[in-house]
Amino acid sequence: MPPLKHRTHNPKRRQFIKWGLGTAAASALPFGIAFARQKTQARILILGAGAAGTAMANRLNNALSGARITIAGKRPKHHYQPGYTLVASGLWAAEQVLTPTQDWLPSEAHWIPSDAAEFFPDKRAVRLEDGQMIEYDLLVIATGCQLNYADIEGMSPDLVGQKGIGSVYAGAEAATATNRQIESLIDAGEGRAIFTLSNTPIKCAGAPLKMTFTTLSRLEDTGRRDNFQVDFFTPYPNKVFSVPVYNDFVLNRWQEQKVGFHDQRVLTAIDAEAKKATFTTTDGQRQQEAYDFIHVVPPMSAPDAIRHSELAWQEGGMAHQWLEIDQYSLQHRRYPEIFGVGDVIGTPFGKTAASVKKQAPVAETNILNYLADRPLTAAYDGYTSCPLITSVGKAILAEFGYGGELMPSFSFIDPTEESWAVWVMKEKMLQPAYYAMLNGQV
Amino acid sequence: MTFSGVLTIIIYSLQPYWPLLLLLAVLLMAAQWAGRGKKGRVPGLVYGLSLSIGIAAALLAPTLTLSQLSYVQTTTDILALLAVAVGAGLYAGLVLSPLLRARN
Repeated sequence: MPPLKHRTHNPKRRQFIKWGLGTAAASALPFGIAFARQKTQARILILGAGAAGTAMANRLNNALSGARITIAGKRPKHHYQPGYTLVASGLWAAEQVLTPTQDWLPSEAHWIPSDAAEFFPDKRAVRLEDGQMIEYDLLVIATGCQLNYADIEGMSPDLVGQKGIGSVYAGAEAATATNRQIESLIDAGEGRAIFTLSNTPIKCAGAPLKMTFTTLSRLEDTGRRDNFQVDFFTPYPNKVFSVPVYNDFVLNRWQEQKVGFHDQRVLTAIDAEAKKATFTTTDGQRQQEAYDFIHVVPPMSAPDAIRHSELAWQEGGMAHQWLEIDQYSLQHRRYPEIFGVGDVIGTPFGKTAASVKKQAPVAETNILNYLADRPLTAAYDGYTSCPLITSVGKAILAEFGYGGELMPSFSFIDPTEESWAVWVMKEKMLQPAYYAMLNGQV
Repeated sequence: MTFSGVLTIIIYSLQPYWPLLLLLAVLLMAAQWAGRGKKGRVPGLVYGLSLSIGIAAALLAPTLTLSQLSYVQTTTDILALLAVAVGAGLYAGLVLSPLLRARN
C-alpha cells in the first residue's frame, strides 16, 4: 500500500491553534483561576525533550510564575513514536511523525540541545554531554529509555533495513527501512518471518505484536499466505503481553493465523550475513533459526547515565536498569526534589505515550505541592493504553493499569473487542491527542 | 476523559481538515444563496440523490480510513457509519435542494 500523503508541517498554523485553544480555555475559566499561577523562584531542570519532557515543560510553564525552566535534550526533531508501527507497516510516511522539537517547547523555557552525562544528586547538579554543569532546585527526569541493541551479539541499529533485519523501535527512518524489508519479503513471494520480544520491560509493549499483525495482514492480502512461515519468539512462558485478557486473545488469534509460537526463548545473537538468529532457552540451550525477515526488539533500560547512577533502583528486579520512583507519586524514593515521568521510570506499567498523558498531570500536581511544602496528593494508577492493531484496518483499545486492571476511557468502546472505530482513533485521532498532550492541554 | 479534553482533541483532530470544512461551508452557503428566490417543491430526485450520497459515503468511509467494510463490527462502528451516512446525506440534501428546487 502506498504511503499516505503526509500533512505539511506548518508551525504558524499550529501556533494559531495553540493560541486559539489557550484563549478558549482561559475564557471558559473564571478570571482568578485562569491566571492563578503559583509563584516560585525554583530552578527547574527537565531532562529529555521528548513526549514526557515536553508535556512537563508546558505544564510547569503554564502553572508556575517566576520559575526558571531549563530543558535538556539533544534531539532536534520530535518523534511521534506511536506512529512508528504505521510507518513500518507502509501506511504512513516517516515525515508524518517528525516535527521540530523547538516548536513544542514553551518560549519562556531555556532549551539546551544536550543529554545528561552524569548526576550529582547530593549537590543537586547534572553534568550534560556538552560539558555544562547545571544546578537545580527541582529535577524532572524524562529522558525516555535506551535501546540496547548491542546486548544482542552481532546486532547494531545500523543493521536495521539490511539483510532482512527490521526493528520498529530504532526511529522513524528505521521504521521506513523495516517496511522496505517487509516489502522485500512480500515481493519474494515466499520466506520465513520471525518476530521477537525482549526479556526486559519495553516501551509500547504492543508494538512487537502490532508488527506481527500488520505483517500477517499484508501477507494475507497477497493471497499466498501459505507460502510464508511466520514465527513469534517470546522469552516468557506462554506470554506475549502482561494483561491476561489481551495475551489470550493474541495467542488464540495467532493460532488461527498459523503463527508458529515459541516461548521461553531470548534472542541473544544475530548473524546478519547468514540470516540466522540465535535464541537461548531458559535452560541455557542455544538454538539457531534461519530467517528471511526478522523483527528485532532490543533489550531496553534507562540511559546509561541514569542506570549507572545513584538515581537508579539499587535493588530488586529493576536494579541498575530503571529510575527509582514511587509508582504512585512519581517522586524519587530517596531524593524528594527529583520526579520522573515517561519511559525511564521503574514502575510496573507505564511506558506508552498514553501513560505520559496520565503521568504528566500527576507529576505536575505533586511538583506544585512539593514546591509549596504541601503533601503530595496526586497518584498515578499505572494507566497504560495501546490501540492494539490486530489487522490493517481494525484494532482493540487496550487500556489497563497496575495489577492488569482494565481501565476503559469510553463507555461505548468495549476494551476487548476489535473495532473499526478504534482503528480510526489510532490512525486519525491519536496523533492530535498526543500533540494536545505535548502542549499540556489534555 | 473530561468533556473539555474530548473537545480539545476534536479541535486538534480537525486541524488538517479546516480548508476542506471551509470549502464545504462555502459550497453550502453558495447553494443556499443560489436558491434563495425559489419557492417551488423539492423534486424527488433530491431525496434519491441525497440518500445515494449518504450510502456511498458510508460505504467509502472504511476504505478512506485504510480499513474495509467487513471490519465494521461493533455497535459503535455501526453507529459511527450510520452517522457518516446521515451527515453526508443531510449535507447533500441541503446543497442540492436549493439548486434543484422549482422556481414557483
